[in-house]
Amino acid sequence: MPPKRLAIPTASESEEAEPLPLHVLKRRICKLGWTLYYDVSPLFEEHWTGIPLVAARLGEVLFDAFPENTRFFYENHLVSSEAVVDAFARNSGLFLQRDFFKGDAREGPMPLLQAGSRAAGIFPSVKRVRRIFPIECSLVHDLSTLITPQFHVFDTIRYHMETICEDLASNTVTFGVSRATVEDLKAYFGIEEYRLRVAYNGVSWPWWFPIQLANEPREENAEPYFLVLGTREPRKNIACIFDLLNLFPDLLEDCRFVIAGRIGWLAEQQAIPAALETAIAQKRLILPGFVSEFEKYRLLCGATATIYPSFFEGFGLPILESLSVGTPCIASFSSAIPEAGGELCTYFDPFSVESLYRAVRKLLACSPKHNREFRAGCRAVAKRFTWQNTARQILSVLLAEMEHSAGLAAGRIAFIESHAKPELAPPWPAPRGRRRANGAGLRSE
Amino acid sequence: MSCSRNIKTVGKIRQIVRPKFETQRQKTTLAPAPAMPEVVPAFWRDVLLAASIPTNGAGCESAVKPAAQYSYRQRLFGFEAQLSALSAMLSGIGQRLLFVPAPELFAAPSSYRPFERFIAPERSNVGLVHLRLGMARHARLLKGARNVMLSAEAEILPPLGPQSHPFASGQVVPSGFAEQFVYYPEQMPLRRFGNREFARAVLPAGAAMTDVREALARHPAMEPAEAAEITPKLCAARGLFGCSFAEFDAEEWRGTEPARMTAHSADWRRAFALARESGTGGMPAHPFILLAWNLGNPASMLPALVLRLCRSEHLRNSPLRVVLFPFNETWETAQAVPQLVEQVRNETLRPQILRSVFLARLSRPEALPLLPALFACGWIEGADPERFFTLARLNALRIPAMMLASPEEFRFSSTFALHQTIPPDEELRLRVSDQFGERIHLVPSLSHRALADVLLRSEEMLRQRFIPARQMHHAEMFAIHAA
Repeated sequence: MPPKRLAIPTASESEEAEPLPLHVLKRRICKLGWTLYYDVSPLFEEHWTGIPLVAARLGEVLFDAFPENTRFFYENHLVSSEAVVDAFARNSGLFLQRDFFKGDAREGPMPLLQAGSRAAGIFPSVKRVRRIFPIECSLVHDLSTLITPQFHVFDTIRYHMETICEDLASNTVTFGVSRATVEDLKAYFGIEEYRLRVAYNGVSWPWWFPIQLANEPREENAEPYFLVLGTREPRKNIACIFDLLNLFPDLLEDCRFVIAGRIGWLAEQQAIPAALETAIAQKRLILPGFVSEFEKYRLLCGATATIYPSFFEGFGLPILESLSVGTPCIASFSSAIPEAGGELCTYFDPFSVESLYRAVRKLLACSPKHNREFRAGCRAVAKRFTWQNTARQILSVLLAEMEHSAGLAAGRIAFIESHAKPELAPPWPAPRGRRRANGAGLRSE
Repeated sequence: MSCSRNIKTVGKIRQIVRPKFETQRQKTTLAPAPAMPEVVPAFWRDVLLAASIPTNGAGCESAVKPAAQYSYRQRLFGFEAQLSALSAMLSGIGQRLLFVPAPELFAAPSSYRPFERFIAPERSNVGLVHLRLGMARHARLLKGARNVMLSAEAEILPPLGPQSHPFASGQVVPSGFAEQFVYYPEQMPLRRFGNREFARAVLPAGAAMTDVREALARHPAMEPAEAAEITPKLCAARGLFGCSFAEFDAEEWRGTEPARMTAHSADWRRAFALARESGTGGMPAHPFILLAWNLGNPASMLPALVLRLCRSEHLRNSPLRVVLFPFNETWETAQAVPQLVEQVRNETLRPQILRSVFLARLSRPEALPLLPALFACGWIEGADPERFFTLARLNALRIPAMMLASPEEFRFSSTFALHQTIPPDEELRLRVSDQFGERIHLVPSLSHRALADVLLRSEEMLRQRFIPARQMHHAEMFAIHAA
C-alpha cells in the first residue's frame, strides 16, 4: 500500500540557479558602471535583532565587496559610509542615528536620478521612499503584520501595511527571505512569479568568538539547559514554554531553561504564571533579557538544545544560529521554519504542549549534539546560509536587470525583434509580459 | 476600537411596515426538518476539508483537529454559527470537517503531516480544500490547498475617504482564493486582490441553518405556552448564559462557558422569576428582545443604540428586557463588550436600568429550542453586513425579526421572512481606529423617538405572539364589531 499523503503542491526546489560568485558579480557590475544605493533606515535601532541585524549583515557584505560602488542613504539623504561602517563594528545603530540627525553623518542630498542613470536601490525592509532609482528591489521579511496581526500593535501593522502595495509595485523585483514568504506574496497580492525571488538570510559570527569562548574558564559538570532565543512578543509563543514547565515541572528537575531576549510588545499576553516563580527564584528558569552577540553565542554553544516555538516566521534566524554552532534545535513546524531547519531540526505542533514535551524528552534521552552526521549537517547549513550567498542571490538578479537596462542586450533585442520567433533568454524563468515590471499589474486597492 | 459620534438628523421618521408573513396569528409550531441539502459542491467530496475562522487559536491544543472538537464561544450567529452549520451539513452527507485555528501555519511539506492522520488508510493521495469562514477582511489562506471563501456578508457601507490597508474595504480577499460561496444570491460579490475576477456560487438552500434544524429535530422547540417552564438553570444546563449589565464581569465573560456568570446573576434569575409570575392570564411570559450585535462590523451603530436605550426613559417604562448576543468576536474586538458595559455604566442616568439589559451567549445547540419561547422578537441592525445570515437563523428559529435602521437601498428578497423594517432617521458619524487604519463611517441610525416607537412595536409584537390564538380571535372580532 502506498504511504498515505496529502496532494500538496510543493515549492519548486530548482527555483534558484547557482548565483555567480561575488568577485564575478563585482567585476561585471563595475564594468557596467552601476552604483548600489543601500537604505540604512533599519539600522537606526540601538539593539540589532531581527530585521536590523539582517540589514546590517547584508550591508556589511555589500560594502566589503563593492566599497567604491556602494553608497548608503536614508530617505533623500546620503549617509556617510564611515558612520555606517562604524555602526557595523559597534553592532548598534545608536551613534549612527545620533550622528545622522545631528547632521554629522549626512553627506548631502541624493542626486536626482534620471531613468537612464546607473543606480540600483536596495531596500532591506519597508521603503521610506520609492521610485527614485531606475532599478529598485526590497526585502520582505514576512507578512506577519497582514497574516497574523493579532501579534502586533496597531501602529506596527499600519506602518507595514500602508505602503506595502506601493512598495511591491515600485520594485523591479522583490526578494522574500524564504520560499514561504515568496509564496505568501504570491498568494495574498497575486504578484507574478518572475517579479519575486528568494534571498535566504545568512548566519555569521565574528572570527574571534570561538577563540574568546575557548579562553573562558569552563564550568565543570555544568547542568544541561535548553535555550529559547527571541524577543518576548506573542508571535514567538513563549507562553508555550511557560505552559510546558507548568504542566510538566519534572523537566525543571532534569535541566534548566534559559529564555533570552528583550521584552517586546503585548507583554500582558505572555505573563509568567505564578507557579513558575519558585523556578525563577531557584534559577531553574532564567530570564536574562537582552543579551549581547557574544553572550548569545556562548549560550548557544553551551545549550543542550534550543527551542523555537514561534507561531509564524518569515525565516527563523535563531534556528540557523543554533545549527551553525552545532546545537540541536526543537522548532515548531510553522511557516518558513522548516526551510531554515531542514532535516536537522525536531519539529512540533506550536499549539500542542504535549507535542513539545515529547520532543524535549526525546532530545534529552538521545541528543544528537555529538553525533558526527549531525555535526556535518550543521556545517553544511552554516556553509549554505551565509550573508555572502544572500548578497550573491540579490546581486545576480540585479545584474541581469542592469545588463538589460544598460543596453548590453540591445543588439540582441534588436536582432530578436527583427525575427519572427524571439528567443530572448530572461534572467529567470519568466512567462510572457516580463517587461510589465515596475508596477504594472499591481496597484493598491 | 474607539468611536465618537456626532448625531445628525436627516429627516422625519418614516416607518414602513412590511409584513412579509403572518407571524401574528401563526402558531409557533415548526415545520418538519427538511432533508439534508442535496447539492454540495462536487469538489468537496473525496477531499480533506478543513475550515478556519478568524480566531487567534487561543485555547486550541492542536494545529489540526476535527471540527466537532472545536469549543464554541457562541454558535447562534456569525462565523462560529457558520462553522456549526457547515459541520452539520457535511456530517449529514457523511463528510468529515477538520478545523485549523491558524491556516497560515502550513507552508513546508513537513508542516502538513498533522493532516495525514485524518486520511483513511485505503487512500493514497488526497487533495486538501480550505474553507474560510468569517469576514472578508480577515480572510486567510492555507497554502497548498484549494482555498474557498464562504462568505455570509452582504453589502458593506464604505467609510469616508481612502483606506490605506489593502484589505480594509472588506470587499477584497487575497489573490489565492479560487472560489467564493455565498448563502444567498443577495450577498455581496467579493473581488480578489488586484480587482481580479472571482468565481461565485450559491450554497445549497438551508445551508445557513442546518445545525438549527438538526437541533430542533432533536429537541422540539418549546412553545410560548411552555415558556414558564424555562428557568435560568435549564438555560445554563443547555448552554445559554446571561447576565445583566449591572453584574457583568469581564473576567467571567472571557471564559467559554461562564456557568458561574449565570449562577451569580441575580438579575437574570429575577427576570425569569418575574416573567413566570406575570405569565398567567394570557400575558407574555418572557418579555425578552434578542439583539444581535456583530462585533466584526466596525461601523456598527449598536453600541450607540444601547447607550441611548439605557439613557432614555422608554426602556425603564417598558416591560421589555433587551438581551444582547454579541458575535464575531476576534482578538481585535474582545474588548468591545467590556468597553460598552463600562460606558453604559458610566453614562446612564439611572443605574436601575442596568438590571434590565442583558448580555447572553449560546454555546451549545441544545439551547436553540429554548429561544422561540424566550424571545418575542429579534432586532437586527439594518446595515450589518451579516444581516441576511442572522435573519435566516432567526427565521429558522421562528423568531420574528425587526430590521433596525435599514438603508433603503438594502433590499430583501422573499427568501426571508422579515416582520418589520424600520428606516433610519438619523446618521451617526463613527470614528473607527483599528488595525485597518483610522476612518470615519456615516452610519444610519435611529433617533430617540424612533427607538421609543420600536419598543412599542416590539411590545405589540410580543402581545400578539404570546396571546393564545383564541383570545386573539376574540379581540379581533371585538375590534371589528366596534368599528
